[in-house]
Amino acid sequence: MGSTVKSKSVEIYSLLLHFYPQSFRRKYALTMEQTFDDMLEDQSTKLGRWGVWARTLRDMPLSASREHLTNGKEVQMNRYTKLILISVIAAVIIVGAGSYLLGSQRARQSIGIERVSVAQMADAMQNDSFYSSYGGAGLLFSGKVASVTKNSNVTLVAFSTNRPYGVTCQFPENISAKVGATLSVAAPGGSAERLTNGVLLHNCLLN
Amino acid sequence: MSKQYNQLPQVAFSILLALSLKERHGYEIIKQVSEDSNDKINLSPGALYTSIKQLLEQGLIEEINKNNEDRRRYYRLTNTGKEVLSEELDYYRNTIVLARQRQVLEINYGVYR
Repeated sequence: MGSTVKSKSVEIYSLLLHFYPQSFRRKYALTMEQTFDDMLEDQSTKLGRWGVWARTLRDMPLSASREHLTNGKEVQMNRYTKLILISVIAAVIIVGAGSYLLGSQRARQSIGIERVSVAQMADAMQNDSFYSSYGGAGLLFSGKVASVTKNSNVTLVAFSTNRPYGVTCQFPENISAKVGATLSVAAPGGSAERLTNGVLLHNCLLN
Repeated sequence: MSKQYNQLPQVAFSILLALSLKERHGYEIIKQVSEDSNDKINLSPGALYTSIKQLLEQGLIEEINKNNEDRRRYYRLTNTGKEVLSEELDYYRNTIVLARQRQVLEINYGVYR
């Protein structure tokens, strides 16, 4: 399983643990997360990610409500009480998880577009303010091509900056660019890498 | 005997049984309980730790500190836990003997005539 998917699962599970009473969470939340993580990690079982989730969500309404209602003591619940409890808490879980996922999507959609100059980007990297300023944005800029290097299916284009340090773009394809020409480029700010002589932007696109 | 038989809930009994061989952390307990029950009891972290909480409060198991940096907590049986588990097992053993005497097991397995 991909580590991103796994960590997202643990993140969501961690949020769902808020259904348990605070005193219970304080004692067991971290170790419960670790156990959930161990279950996801264990490739020797046939459970798989969805199996782990199914087992966890099936039990959570009962164990969480039992902790709230009885402080963990065993109680007898009839079939209908169980059904109602499971339905109510499952609905809350589904709505909560949906809101969380939708919230993440909206947050991604709300990422801004920044129009910048190559000099601004080079300076920001030197001042250690690049990632806080541009890390979550899509960057649009134009610049004069200083050099072009083609390597396999990758093209590296360095831009002139009038600085001792510069901006280089890596295009994941062969592009035609001439030294001295002006190129308009789009690049994700989060893909920037700090070099000793400036900034390297990965996954650039011609704009 | 003043103690009631079979007073442990099934999950609690399964956890004690899983800890009877050695100390274990959460996921090791879950796996051992599944194995011991032929996959009939499949615990989630929620079911496991609500039962563990009760067992700790009853003094049947205890937590041991292995490594402060590890988020996993390890548990083992206390002497009381061993006694209670032994009594539970006696109860089941006697129940099996009784069932055999009454040929209930054979009826259930369809070979009794």
